[in-house]
Amino acid sequence: MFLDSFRQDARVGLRVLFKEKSHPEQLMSVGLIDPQASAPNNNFGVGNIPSAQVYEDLRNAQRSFAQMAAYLNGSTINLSYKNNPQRYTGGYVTEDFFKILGVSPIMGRDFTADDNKPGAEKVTILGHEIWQRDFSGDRNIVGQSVRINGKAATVIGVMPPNFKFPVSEELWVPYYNEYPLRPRGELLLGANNPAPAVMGRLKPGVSIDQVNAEFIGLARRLAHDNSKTNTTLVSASVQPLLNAVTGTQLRQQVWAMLGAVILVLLIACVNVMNMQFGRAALRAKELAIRGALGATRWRLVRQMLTESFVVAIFGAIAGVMLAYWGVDMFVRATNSLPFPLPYWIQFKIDGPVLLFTVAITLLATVVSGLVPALVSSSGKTAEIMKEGGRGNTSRLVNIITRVLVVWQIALTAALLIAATLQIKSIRNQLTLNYGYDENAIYTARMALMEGAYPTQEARREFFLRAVRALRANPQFDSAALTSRFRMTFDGLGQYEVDGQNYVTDRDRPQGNFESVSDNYFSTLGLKILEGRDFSIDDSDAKHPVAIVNTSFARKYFGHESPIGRRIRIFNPGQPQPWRTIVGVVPDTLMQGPFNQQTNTAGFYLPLLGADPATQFCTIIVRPRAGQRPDTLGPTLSKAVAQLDPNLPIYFPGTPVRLHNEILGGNRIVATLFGIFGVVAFILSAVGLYGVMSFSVNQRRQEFGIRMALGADAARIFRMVMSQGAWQLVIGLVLGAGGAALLLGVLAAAALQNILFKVNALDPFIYFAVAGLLTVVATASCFVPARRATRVDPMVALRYE
Amino acid sequence: MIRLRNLERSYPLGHGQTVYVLRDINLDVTEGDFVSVMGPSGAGKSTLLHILGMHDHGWTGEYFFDETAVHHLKSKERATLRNERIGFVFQQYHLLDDLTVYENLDIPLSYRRYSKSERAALVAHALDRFQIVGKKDLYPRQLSGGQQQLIGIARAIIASPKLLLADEPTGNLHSSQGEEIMELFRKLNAEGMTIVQVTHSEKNAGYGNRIVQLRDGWIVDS
Repeated sequence: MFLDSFRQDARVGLRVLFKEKSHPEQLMSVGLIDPQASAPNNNFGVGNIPSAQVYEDLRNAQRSFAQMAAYLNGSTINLSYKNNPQRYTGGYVTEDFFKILGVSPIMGRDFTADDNKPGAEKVTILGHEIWQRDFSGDRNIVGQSVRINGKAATVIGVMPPNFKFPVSEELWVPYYNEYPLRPRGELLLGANNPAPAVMGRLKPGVSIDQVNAEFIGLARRLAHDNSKTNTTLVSASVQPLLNAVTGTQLRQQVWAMLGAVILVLLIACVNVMNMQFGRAALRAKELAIRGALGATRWRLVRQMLTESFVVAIFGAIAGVMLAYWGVDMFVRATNSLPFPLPYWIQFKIDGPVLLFTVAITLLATVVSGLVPALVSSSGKTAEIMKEGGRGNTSRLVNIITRVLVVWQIALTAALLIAATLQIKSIRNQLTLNYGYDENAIYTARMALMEGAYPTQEARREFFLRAVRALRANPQFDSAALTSRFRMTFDGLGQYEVDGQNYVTDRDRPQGNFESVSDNYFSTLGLKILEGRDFSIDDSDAKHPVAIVNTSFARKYFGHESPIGRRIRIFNPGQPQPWRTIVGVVPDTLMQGPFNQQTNTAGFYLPLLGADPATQFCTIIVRPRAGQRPDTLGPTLSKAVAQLDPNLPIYFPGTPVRLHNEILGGNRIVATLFGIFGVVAFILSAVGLYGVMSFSVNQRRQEFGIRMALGADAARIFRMVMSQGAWQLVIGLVLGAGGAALLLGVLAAAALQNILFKVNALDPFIYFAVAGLLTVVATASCFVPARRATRVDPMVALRYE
Repeated sequence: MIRLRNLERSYPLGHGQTVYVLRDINLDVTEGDFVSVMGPSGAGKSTLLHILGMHDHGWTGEYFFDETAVHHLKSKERATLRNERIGFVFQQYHLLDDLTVYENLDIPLSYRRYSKSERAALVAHALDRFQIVGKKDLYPRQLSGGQQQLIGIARAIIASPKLLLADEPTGNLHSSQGEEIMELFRKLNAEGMTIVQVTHSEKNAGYGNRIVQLRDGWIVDS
């Protein structure tokens, strides 16, 4: 019966594995790529769609997809309902978005091509969760008026429960209605660039190879026709959306964790095997007597396996209970993350997974018991009975258990090294020096949407009003604006320094840039080292200026003053103006905790005079002396509400809190690796102790003989300890060597994305792990070794 | 060589009770003696042998070995004395399974202050003397019982002890092998080695020059 159900599971598993081939009509992610560069990913998948216009060109030209859709996910959508403004995370989608997915609203209607046109009446489809939570599940919500991004809009539908595609969207708005198609060649930068993700559903009979071939051809044609924006994007990548959404890093991390779990399982198996060997050896005489009384070898093996099975069942029950508790803890931890996980990632113990895990556990336990059972049941009855259970079997058992301990140490060393590297990497991220006091200020994000602020002048005017009002507020010592998202992410791109020669586009260096208002540096507590701060009069339209950081100044100008020199952002689609450097400021961590580039060079642009004016920015306020920054939330909300009652602020908090939230996911991963390491560590310590203890018991008589022949206690002690030492040394060499080979050579490229400022071959970590295991091994061997010295030769020599 | 006076060995039984294994033992063994200790099971023969061999320290009374008062020696001093003067032969041979014949012979020397070359010379001499050169690389399990006991004896005398203690040395051997071993003992004794053996066999006891009878821990005849 068990085999039947296992076969069934295996069939289901295989069907899932090969589903791609048997169902070619499936969702695909589409992206254009620069084959010469490691092009950044779009939201989902490999490559970029630089603008909605490029998407339209592709859509119109292609023949492989039955339907295509473009979308911006994770976007800010400000919605006011009954004069209550709220910021949601939503998606701007083209009209076929839901149709491709085959999902329809449970109430109201889907988007139409007319809804998606610029200037059409604004409409939205709500997610089930916010409909229930913020609209009280109003059955008459369809047709009701709301304000979206400052414009009058109508709710036209509600999606089914638990639908938040593609990640954690709470509502959806037609794409082109919010972001009308821009002319070709107009490429915006940073948050203002609505570069979409694109997906499509293949026509029946079209293979992945065919669609890729078609899109590579289209990419070449577009690059030829649009030399400014698509010059380098001469290839394309079309891949199943499922592969695309589970990105490389996620896959790598999951593989790493699976690897860690397998290592822990192997260590546990080795432990169980060793314990079974111990028990089998102790029972060798009993088994021999049973054999002498007529038990067949199979009967003896079955008896031992039954015992293993009973142990496994109890272990599995305990394990399942622990798993439920662990998953519950894990869900709580992931739910508290600032960026919710995609809604389709759910941590729960479902039937097949539970069955698989329990089956693996039972299988591992039974297999672990099988080898000892086979070995111990193979002993020659007469010899064992004659020699009191110390025949050839115990010799073989001794060799096997010693080898197993070596492997256990090796596996533990490898796992501990990997876990320590991972923990160190995440610790590096958690203890970063950002270059300013992260506890001294308070920040919040706001978005000026086109409905309420349709022109650049309107946005500039609001920003000016905002900084003036906030600076006049008696609660704040100073206030400023920045484009930095959650005080973590900001612009990253190529730039040019006047006077440097660049032969090709790719010669331009890549660096960090951030748009900030005047007083930004003083609000952060930073001094202007040379030149001046931005002023509210600095304008890209009149006289573009920039401020560079120390690293930038040193890198390009050495000991000379950079003041008066010129730089500009490199944008072949829309050439940017040269900017005159007017100041130098100290370095801050412009890459945030996720970018491990050692190049810290970066520069700042004036936010208030930016052209085009940004839509999204972060407010920074520093409290008056004596006030705690983390208490400024209500004051700031009130101050912004006085400026615009329909403008919500979101992502509030001190930078230290925001960074901690953003790194929460990493902390979970670190904790998991930590747990794996500790479990492996404990298992190894117990295993080593068990084997050494077993070995000493097995060798009681040998110690007795040796003592009778003149060995003293110190010599016996050294003997046991040196046996442990040899096992340790071989295990460490194998484990550390294996880890170095895997982490430093075979998976070195993949680890560059995972390990943050950590050398995968960091000798300190390898020695620390070796040291730790040496201490544990010494402690594990010490007690048995001491016991060996207390063997009474008289008793041992009579011992049978 | 050996003088035991009022020697007793007992074990506590709990509840304040004590069981005596040896009672008021008074025994003299002179150099060159070949003593056979006999008696039924549980008479205390092996215990007496282990006391003589200084493995057992839980006795009372007086024990002089070559005029050294063993009863006044500390455990470490007794071990030194034992290593210098006494060799052991066991009923179960007690060779170490994982070591070759050569290595088994080398063990006692490795626990004493011999240089490597001295050890090699002594082992070679023993192999030659006992005519087991051809077996030096074999493991105990590859040898017959008689051959194993031969190695056991060679190992016991390799460090030139003055006293050889043997606990049922032929107990696991068939009669012809047993006779060979006893002939070897006689030869060793003739060469000046003092031997004390525990045996159940009247015939084997006959190889010695003196028999000590034990009953319930008492010497009833010597």
